[in-house]
Amino acid sequence: MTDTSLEETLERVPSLRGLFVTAMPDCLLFQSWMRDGEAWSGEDVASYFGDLIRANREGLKALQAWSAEMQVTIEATDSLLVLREVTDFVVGFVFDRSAPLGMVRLHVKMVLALLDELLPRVKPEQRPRGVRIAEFLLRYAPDAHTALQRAALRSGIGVDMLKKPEQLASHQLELFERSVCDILGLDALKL
Amino acid sequence: MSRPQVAATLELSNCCVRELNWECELERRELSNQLVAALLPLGYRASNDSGFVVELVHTNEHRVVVVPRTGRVQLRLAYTTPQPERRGAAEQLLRQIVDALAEFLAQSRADSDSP
Amino acid sequence: MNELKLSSLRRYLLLQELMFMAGQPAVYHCHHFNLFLDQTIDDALGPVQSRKLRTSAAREFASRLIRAVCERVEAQTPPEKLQVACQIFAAMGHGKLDLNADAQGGKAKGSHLHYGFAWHEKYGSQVRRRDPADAFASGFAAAAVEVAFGLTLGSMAAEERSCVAMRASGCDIDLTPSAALENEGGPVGEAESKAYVGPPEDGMCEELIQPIAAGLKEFTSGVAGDERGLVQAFGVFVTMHLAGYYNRISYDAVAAIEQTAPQSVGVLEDLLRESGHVCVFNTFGGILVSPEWEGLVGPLPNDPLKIVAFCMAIGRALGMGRWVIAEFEPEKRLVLRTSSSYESVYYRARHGIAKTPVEYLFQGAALATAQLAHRVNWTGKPQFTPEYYKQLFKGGVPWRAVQTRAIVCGDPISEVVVTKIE
Repeated sequence: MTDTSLEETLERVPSLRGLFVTAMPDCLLFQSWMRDGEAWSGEDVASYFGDLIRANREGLKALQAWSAEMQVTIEATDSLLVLREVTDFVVGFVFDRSAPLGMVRLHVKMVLALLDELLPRVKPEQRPRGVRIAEFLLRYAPDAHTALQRAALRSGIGVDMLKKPEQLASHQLELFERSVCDILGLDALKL
Repeated sequence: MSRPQVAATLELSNCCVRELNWECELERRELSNQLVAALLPLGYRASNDSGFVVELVHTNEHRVVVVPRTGRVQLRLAYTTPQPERRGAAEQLLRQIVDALAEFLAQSRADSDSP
Repeated sequence: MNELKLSSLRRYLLLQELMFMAGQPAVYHCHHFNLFLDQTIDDALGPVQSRKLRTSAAREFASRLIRAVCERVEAQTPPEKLQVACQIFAAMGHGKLDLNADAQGGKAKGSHLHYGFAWHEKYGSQVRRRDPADAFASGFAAAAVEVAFGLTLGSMAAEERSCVAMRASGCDIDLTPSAALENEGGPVGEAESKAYVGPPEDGMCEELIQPIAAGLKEFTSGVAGDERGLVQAFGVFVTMHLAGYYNRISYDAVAAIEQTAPQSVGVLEDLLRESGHVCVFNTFGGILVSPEWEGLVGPLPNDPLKIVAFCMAIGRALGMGRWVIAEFEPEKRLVLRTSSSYESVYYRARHGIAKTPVEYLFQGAALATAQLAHRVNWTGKPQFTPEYYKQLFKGGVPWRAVQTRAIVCGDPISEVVVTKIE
């Protein structure tokens, strides 16, 4: 987190353990802050939070219950998570589980107001579909270290080519996407 | 007469099936020598006594493995235990072990004190 | 009919550490290996062809096993033979099969089938499975009915209709008469095993390896499926499995890909090696940190050579062959040899001399042994979880394994040289 005023604000929020800003739609970590002693992988957390919000958005749309103001709250064993969309970003807060919910909402509102001023308005450039497919595969495939090899075997495309997914031709992209769907047991990828 | 205190901690142990195996670290490892005798009256039976480990299995299928040579105690939950319930089941098993050992030690002391 | 006792059916080929179950090549493998290998065949052939091959391989080798066991326990009537088949299936750790079938077909109901159950446990919360997982059980059930009623191999089709890996409450297999008869392949039994092994040799640390291997063999002789037909030992689900099943699905899949997508043979071979790597790393690692090991051998040292020696003992006890340490230079080089492997016996018996070394399990195992020896802090209570595996290997393996000699290529022994990539 580069902005010192934000960092100081976050330090003062009681029970806040971490904050992750994910750039959408690519689910890439934009910024993060963690209290001393926390050792999460910011990149991993950010990408999963992004996917979670996207899935939540699609689910709510299917129920015709979506609104831009939606907020996801997760009460886990040791932590309380709040996820919120802010323009082209998803902001994820991780609080101690013991933090009172009313207090959490208040602090979330305050930090979001600050972030609204700090976060850029420019929509991040959407990267090639092949890259996003590969990232999705590596994020969700079991035994991720072999995921590209498995996709190569299923699609008949060489592993070296799959390592440069932005260069895949359209018919290869189709094969690659199909193989990823099969590996993950999905009908289609919604990226 | 006060009941003997037994202290033990619980720690996740290696297992390729999530949260099934737990290490029960007795503060005094030598107490593991008495663990088998303490657990047998509680519905456990020895399923493996190869000499280098003693494995006790309960009717609820949870297992307690004792390594006589080092005093290590491992708890192995029944693999049918649903994943979200495994930590709680391990904690319950640990309490049972601690209570059983304390009870066994109290009884042993009472027996040795009696004329 | 005599009582069926697993330990009395098991024997090892003297000094070669190959295991047999009623004369059929067998080996202990964990669910990591079983699931990864089946998955690799799915990746190579697609779900339909893969299931067909896996069912067929299971049928072929289960048929030989069931016939041999029925003969030994003098099971004569169809009900006796079906009972023997279900007993042996459960005793080997594959789960429970209830067979309700006659010569016209019927049903097999599976509960806690090893593949479906272990898949659900390992991957069920991560991905949705769209095809049933229990081709081995399906082929086994078909073979049982064929043997029991004196039917020709392949005359009973088996199709798993519901599977716990697909979130069903149980596994149901339909057995129906089929005209797609199958040819029994050439024999791969004890005689072939004796023919395709080299002269047994000793390597480094034999004084350590041999007694531990003997102790482990004694321990595993008492291991059999529980009341659900599963074996949970050393922190993994273990099966005593038919080596012929592993070999046929591996080598037939490679042959099929050579024909249909030759550009993908390399990646298929890499994944077959990975099956061996994931197996040895997780299962051997799990054995080493288990209470059973601590009781048998003692607490683990951070001594790479000793860890390699321990892995050799485990490999021998599980029936993988007479693995020996030929050379060892810490942090640099490890050379493993074997005069026997279940892969080379099968390959030589079925395919003859290979053009390239194709002992995938041995190659992956040698690489994993070097990782266990050098990259695990044994005094720090390591946990062999998928996260740990990912953390160590997501950037690739910083060692390289090359098979320099191979029984499948006509050499008297097989050898894999593992070197650290500088």
